[in-house]
Amino acid sequence: MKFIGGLILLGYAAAVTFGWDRLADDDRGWVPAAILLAPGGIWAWHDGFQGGK
Amino acid sequence: VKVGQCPSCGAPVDFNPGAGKVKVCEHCSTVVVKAGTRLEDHGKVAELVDTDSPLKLGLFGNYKGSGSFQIVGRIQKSHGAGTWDEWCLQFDDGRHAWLSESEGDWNIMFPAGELQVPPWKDLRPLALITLREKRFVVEEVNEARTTSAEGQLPDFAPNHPYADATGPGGVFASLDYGGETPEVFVGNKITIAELGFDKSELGSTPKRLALHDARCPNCNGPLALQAPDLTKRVACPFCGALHEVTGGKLAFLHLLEKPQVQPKLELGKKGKFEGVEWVVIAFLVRGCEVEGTEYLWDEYLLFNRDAGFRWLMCANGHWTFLTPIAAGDLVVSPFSAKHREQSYKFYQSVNTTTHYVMGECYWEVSQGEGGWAAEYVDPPNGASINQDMTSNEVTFTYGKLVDKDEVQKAFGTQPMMRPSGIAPAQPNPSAAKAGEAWTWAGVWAAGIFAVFLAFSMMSFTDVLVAMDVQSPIMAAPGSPESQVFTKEFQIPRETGIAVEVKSNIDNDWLAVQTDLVNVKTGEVVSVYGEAEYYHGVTDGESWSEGDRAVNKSTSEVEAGTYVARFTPSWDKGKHPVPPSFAITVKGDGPGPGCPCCLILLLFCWPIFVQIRSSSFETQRWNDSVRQSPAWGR
Repeated sequence: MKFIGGLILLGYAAAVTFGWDRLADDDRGWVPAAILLAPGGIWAWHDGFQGGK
Repeated sequence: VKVGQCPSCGAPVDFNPGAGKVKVCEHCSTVVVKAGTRLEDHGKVAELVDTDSPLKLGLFGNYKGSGSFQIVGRIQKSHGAGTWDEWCLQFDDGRHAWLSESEGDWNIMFPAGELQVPPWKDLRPLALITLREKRFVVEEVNEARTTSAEGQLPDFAPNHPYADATGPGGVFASLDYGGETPEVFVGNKITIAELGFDKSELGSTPKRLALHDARCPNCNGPLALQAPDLTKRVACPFCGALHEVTGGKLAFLHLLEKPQVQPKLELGKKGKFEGVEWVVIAFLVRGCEVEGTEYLWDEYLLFNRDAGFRWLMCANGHWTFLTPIAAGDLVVSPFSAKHREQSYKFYQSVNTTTHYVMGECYWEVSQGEGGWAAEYVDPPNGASINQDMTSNEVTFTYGKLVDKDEVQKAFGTQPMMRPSGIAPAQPNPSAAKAGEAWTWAGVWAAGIFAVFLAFSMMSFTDVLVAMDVQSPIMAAPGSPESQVFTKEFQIPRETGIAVEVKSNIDNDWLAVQTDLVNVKTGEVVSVYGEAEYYHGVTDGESWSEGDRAVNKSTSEVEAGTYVARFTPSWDKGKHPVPPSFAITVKGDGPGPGCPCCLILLLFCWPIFVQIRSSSFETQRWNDSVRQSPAWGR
């Protein structure tokens, strides 16, 4: 118990220090640079939607 | 020296000044009492029994702190099962003391003066009495008769109801109710060497010593007694004849039933315990009956010339080494006993019977001898306090469990049977482990909780966006027209993001795509959440499923300036107009994550060990029993 408990604590501390994977739901992507530079910028970006039934 | 005439035979009787008013006539054994100037005849005493004592009248000695003395008188007492000597010592300063021998120990006792003591008939073994503000525990209540005497004595009483008690630190007290008022004597154990006798003056004990090579008067088998000077009864291991040791001789009493079992340690075997070499001098089988079942155990009496007597007890293969202790050093209650600041829990009390005996014993042992025994245990230390009691006497021993291999090694015997069951004082192997496991689980759980707290305090949970979203009325589900943008907002440091959508949907669904766009880099972090909620009544039973709200999380998102875009999607058939919903975007980390599961995991082992420990204790205490003494106290 003395050592196993210590390992569990170390593992937990390492996980929270170096990133705790929370089963994230996100996808990543990029807005084309042309849109960022265009008039309206981000607010003119309408692509990328994948969801819906 | 004052000289008078014996009122019985007329022989000269001399009285040493200050040495007592009673003199036993050397010629006719008349007890002569000095009453003023007259000498009175108080009857005759019997001839002295040859006890083969090393002491004799006239010996000079010196006792530490009390000065020089001379043995001036001797009385012989008996309580029907043996005779013993008490020697009167006259000190130079006029005081007198009594020296007696009991179970191999010598006791010196001085008169304690007039003290209030309870009446003899009110005393029982274990009764508490206070003498000069010291607590004493009565160990024996009995009645002795003066059978003989010699020399000069302070007084003379034919009958002596008495009570012996012990106090703390080995102090010994004897209450003598033989006179008109009870006399109290207080003293302690000593060795003959402490009395400063001239060794050349001490008589040898040839008759007793001759018993070293004694043969059984019944079968002529060699007895080879180890402690003939201290032995009162001998049971022949060959024929079972029980003999009384009196006057340095063996007197046949009767034949005993021979043991059905052979001793595991043979009589005469030598073994070393606690640095002392012991010799096995007797073997007894004792037992008790509980709910119709008879339980037996073996007892071995061990002897060492300097250290005295000890016991080795074997019950179900569990061995206990027992050392006598004074009742005065104990505090005993029905539920516990205390000895040297250590508490012992009551475990059992039973009525006992001595079934078999073999070898030499320092008391008047007999087959079928009944008693009452109680045991108090301290399992963590494998120790016990054992109380053995009869209607008029109580003795205590301190027991320490010893491993069978240790006994085997000490006495060089054959391998012994494995212990079965649980000994009353057996240490619980899981108890210490459980304690350690709980301690460490607690320590590590506290560590994990501390890490959790520290990271919780550091984690970012600020609300970044909180708004109601309503797409334009004509927008189609999931279309660019339905999209709603926020203003720019700051995510101050790298963190996970939580998105919560709350709606009023009813038997419907609503999906929302949330895109967090980093204004500077153009990186998009998207989460898609779909809320659906349905309910109804089927076969008379109402039901519902789903939730009107939905929560989604992202992994770490870089710090920076962001714009959020929400794209709702819905069932256009049901909702020609886009449904409104509330949305919250907030920080979600880097959180420490809930440590509950880990903490539970940590406590699995102590819980398991604790269950094992409790199971062991349940088994131990299942055999606990409480019987009252058969003679009824």
